[in-house]
Amino acid sequence: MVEVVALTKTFAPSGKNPIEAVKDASFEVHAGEIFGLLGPNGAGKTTLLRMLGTILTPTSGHSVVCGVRSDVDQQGVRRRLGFISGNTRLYKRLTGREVLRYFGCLYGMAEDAIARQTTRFAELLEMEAFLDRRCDSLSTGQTQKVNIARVMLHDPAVLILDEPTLGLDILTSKTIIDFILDAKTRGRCIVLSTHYMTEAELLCDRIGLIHQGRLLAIDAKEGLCAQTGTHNLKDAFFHIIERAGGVAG
Amino acid sequence: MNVRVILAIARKELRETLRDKRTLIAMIGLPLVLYPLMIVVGAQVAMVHIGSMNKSVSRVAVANDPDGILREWVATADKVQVIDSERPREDLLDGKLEAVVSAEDSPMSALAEACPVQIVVEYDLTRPNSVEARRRVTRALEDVSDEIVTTRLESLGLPVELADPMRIEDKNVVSSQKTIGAFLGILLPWLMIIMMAMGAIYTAIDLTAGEKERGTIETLLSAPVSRSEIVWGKFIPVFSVSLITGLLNLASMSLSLWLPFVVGGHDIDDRIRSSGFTVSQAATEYLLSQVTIGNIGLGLLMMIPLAVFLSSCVMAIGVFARDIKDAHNLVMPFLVILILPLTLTALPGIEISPLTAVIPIANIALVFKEILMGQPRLENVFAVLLCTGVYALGALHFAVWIFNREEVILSEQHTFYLAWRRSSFARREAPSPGMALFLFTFMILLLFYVGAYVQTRMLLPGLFITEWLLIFLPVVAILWYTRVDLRRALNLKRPPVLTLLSGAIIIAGMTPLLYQFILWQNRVLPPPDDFMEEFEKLSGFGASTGGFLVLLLAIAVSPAICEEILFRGAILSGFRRTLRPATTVLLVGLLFGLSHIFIYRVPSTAFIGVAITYVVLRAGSIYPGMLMHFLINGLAVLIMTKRLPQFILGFLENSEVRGQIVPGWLIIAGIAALTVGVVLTELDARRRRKHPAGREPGETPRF
Repeated sequence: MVEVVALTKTFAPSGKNPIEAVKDASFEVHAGEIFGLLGPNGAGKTTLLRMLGTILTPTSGHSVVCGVRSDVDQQGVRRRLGFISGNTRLYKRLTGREVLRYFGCLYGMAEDAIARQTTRFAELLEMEAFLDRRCDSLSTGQTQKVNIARVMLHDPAVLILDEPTLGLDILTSKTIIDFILDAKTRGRCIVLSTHYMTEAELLCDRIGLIHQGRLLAIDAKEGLCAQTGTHNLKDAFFHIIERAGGVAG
Repeated sequence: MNVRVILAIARKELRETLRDKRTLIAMIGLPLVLYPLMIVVGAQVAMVHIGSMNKSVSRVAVANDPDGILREWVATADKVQVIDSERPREDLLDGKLEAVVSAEDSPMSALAEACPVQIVVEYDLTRPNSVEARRRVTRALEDVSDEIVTTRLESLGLPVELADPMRIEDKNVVSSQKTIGAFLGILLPWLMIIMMAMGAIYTAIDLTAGEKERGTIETLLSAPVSRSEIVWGKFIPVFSVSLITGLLNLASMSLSLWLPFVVGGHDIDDRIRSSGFTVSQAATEYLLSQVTIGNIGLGLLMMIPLAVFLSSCVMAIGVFARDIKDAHNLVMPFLVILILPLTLTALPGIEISPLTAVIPIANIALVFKEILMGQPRLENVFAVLLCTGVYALGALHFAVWIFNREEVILSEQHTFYLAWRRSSFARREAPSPGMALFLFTFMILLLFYVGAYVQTRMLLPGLFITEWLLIFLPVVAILWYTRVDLRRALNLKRPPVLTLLSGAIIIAGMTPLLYQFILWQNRVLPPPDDFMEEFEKLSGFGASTGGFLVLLLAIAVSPAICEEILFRGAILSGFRRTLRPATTVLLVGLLFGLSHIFIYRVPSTAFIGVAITYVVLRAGSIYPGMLMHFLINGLAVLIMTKRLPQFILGFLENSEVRGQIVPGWLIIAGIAALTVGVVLTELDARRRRKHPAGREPGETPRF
C-alpha cells in the first residue's frame, strides 16, 4: 500500500553546509499494518514522514501510495493520506467543527458526508463538549483529537502520524492509541513515528530504526531482538546504533 | 484548478479575518471614525483661528514720520492700533508689533513737489497676524492715496475719471469649486490608495505570514490542494477586504464632507469668502456636480484593478516573509515604493497618457483624478485596467512561485541571511537573478541622483565619471566582493571571429530601421529641449580633431566597455541560468533601455539592447557586444560632429523634406542586413555547438 523507494532529502544542497536529513530510505507498508519509525530527536523521522506526506519534495527517490507515485501526482497521494505532525496545528479562530468542515471540503467531500463523519468522530473521540468551541480555547489533548478527526474524516487508506501522542496525558493517549488500533483492524495502513519505546512495542507490527538520517534496521520487535541478541527493544536499539558507529545524540 | 476548493479556502479565510479584531478595526472602525473626526476637529480649529484673526487688532508702529502725517494716515485703517515703540524693528521680530510703517522723507514736502511719497511697510511673512496687519495698513494708505489724487484732479478742474483710464474686471471661468475639485482630485485618490493598501496589508499578512507563524501552513499543505489554489483562495479575501476598506473609506469621506454642507445649506461662494471652513463643502458641491451614475461606476470600476494589484503585491510579500514581524519589515519598503509614483500625480501638468498609463498606482490615481474632474476618457480607463491587470497577474504568479518553494514556506530561518564579510559569500560563477536586479537598481539610483547632477554641472567629464565611476567601478567591485568569478560572470572570453562580423552587420542593418523609428517617435514624443541643447554643446566641442577623439572616448568607447560589463556581463549572466533565452534577451534589452532614464531614449536603446544581448548570448562572449555598442554610439558621434560624407549628412538633414520617411530601399537593405547578421550568428552558434572546442556547457542555448 505504501512503498518508499530510496528517499533522500538534503537541505541547502548547494550551500556551504548541506544537511543530509534522510539518506536512501526504502521500505514497504501493507494494508492493516502499523509501521513505526523509531529514533532519537533529529534522526530524520519527521523529514521522512513529511516527504511521505508530500509536504517536502525529496532530493531523490520517490514513494508510492495506493499505486500513485508521489513524483507524478502529489495531490493524488495527498487525497489518499491523512497526515499529522507536530507542525500541523489547527486554525485558532475557527471552531473544531468548522475546521473539520473546511478540511472535508478540501478533500472534496460532500456536505452531508462531512456532517455525518463529524458526528461519528465526535462520538468516537468524545468531542461533543468542545467541538463548537474555538480552537484557541482547547487543551492539547482536545486539539489532538480534533486533529485526528481531521485526517480521518475522508477515511484515507493510509495514515501518517508523526508522534501522535507527544505531550498528551495517559487518558488521551489511550483514546488515540485505541483509535489507531481500530484503524488497523479496519485495514488501514499506518506509518507513525515515535521515540517512546513502549508505544512502539505496543503498537507497531514492524519497526524501522532510524539514526542520523539512515534506516539502520527494519523488522518486527522480535526480529530486532533476535538480530541483536537482546531481550527488549531498548537494548536492541542501543545495540544497533552502536554497531552503526555512534551513540544516540 | 478547482473552483470549489478555491471558494472553500476563500470562505474560511474570510471567516477567520472577520474574527480578528485588529483587521476589523483597521477596515471598518478607522474610516468610520477618522473622517468625521478629522472634519469636525479641522473645522473647529479653522473657525476659531479665522474668528480670532478677524477680531484681533493689529499693533502697528510708525517709525519715521517727520511730519506726523503718516501716523494720521495709518490710524485711519480699520482695526489698527498705532503704538509707540522705542525699537520698532526688534518689537516686530519679537512679536510685540504686527507691522512697522515708515516714510523715507517728509511726506508733506514730497506731496508739495508732486513727487511720490516713499512709504515702507515692514511685516513678518511667517506670522498670519502680521500679514493681515500689512493688508489693513496698505489698504488704508491706498485709500489716502486715492483721496489725494481726487483732490489734485478737482483742484485742477479735471474729472476724477482721468486717473482711472481703464476698468479691469476679471472673471475666472473656472469656479473656485473647480480649483478645489482639482486639488481634491489629487488628494482623494491618495487617501483611497493608501487606505486600500492598508486593508490589503493587514489581511494579506495575516493569511500568509500569519499562517506560517501560527503553524497551520503544514496542515493546509497536507490537504490535496495545489499551491495555486491556495494562493487564489487567499487572494479573494484579501482583495475583498481591500475593496471593502476602499468603499467604506470613500463612503465615510463623502458623508463627512457632504453632511455639514447639506445641514448648513447656505450659498457656497459666500461661505468660501467668509471662512475657510466651507472650502471642503464647496469642493464637495463641485464634486457632487460632477457625479453622474457613469462616473461613479467608473470610479468603482477602477477600484477593482487597484484592489487586485495591491492585494496581489502584498500577498507576494506576505508569502515571502517568515513571520508577521518579518512581513511588516518587508512591507515598509513596499509602502514607500507605492507613495513614490503617487507623488508624481501631484505634479502639475501630469495627466494620464499612454506613458503614464503604464506606471502602476500612478496610472490609477491619474484616472481617478480625471473621473473626479468629470472628464474621463474611456480609452485611458481601458489602458489602465489592462496594465494593472497584467501587473496583478504577475504579482500573483510570483506569489504562487514563492509558495512552491518549500525552503521559503517551511523554513524557520530568516528570509535574508545577513552576513556581510567577503568570506561569508560562497564562490559563484555568476550572480543570482536577484543580485542582477540589485545591480541594475543600484546603478539606476546612482545615475538618477549622482549621474544627472554631475552631468548638469560639467557635461563631458560628467559622462566619463558616470561611465567609469558610477557603472564600471561599482559593478566590478560588488561582483568581486561577493566572490563572483569575474571572467565567467562578465563573459570575458575570446569571441568567435564570425560573431564580431555578424554583430557589426546586425548594427548596420538596424541603423536605418532605428532612424525611421526615431523619426516616427519624434512626431509623438519630440526630444526635450535640454536634450537638444546638450547635443549642440557636444557637437560644438567635437569640431576639432582632439575634441572629436575625446567625444569618441566619452560617448562610444567608455559606454561600450562600462555599460556592456554591467548589462551583457553581470545582468545577462544573472538571468541566463534561470530564464529562457528569449525572455533573457528581452528582459536585458528592456533593462538596458530603461537605464537610459529619459523616456525619449528608452525605446530605441531597448531595441539596441535586445540586439546586443542576443549576439552576446549566442557568442558566449562580451566582446561582440562591446564592438556593436561602440559602432552604434560611434555613429552617433560621427553624426553629431558632422564627420560623415556630405551626401549622408545631407540625407539626414533632408529627412524633414521627405516627410520623415527613410527611403524604402534603405529599409529593405536594413532588413536584409539584419537577417544576414542573425543567420550568420545562428550558423556560427550551431557550428560551435557541433564542435564545442573550449566551450562551456550551457552556453549558446536554443531559442
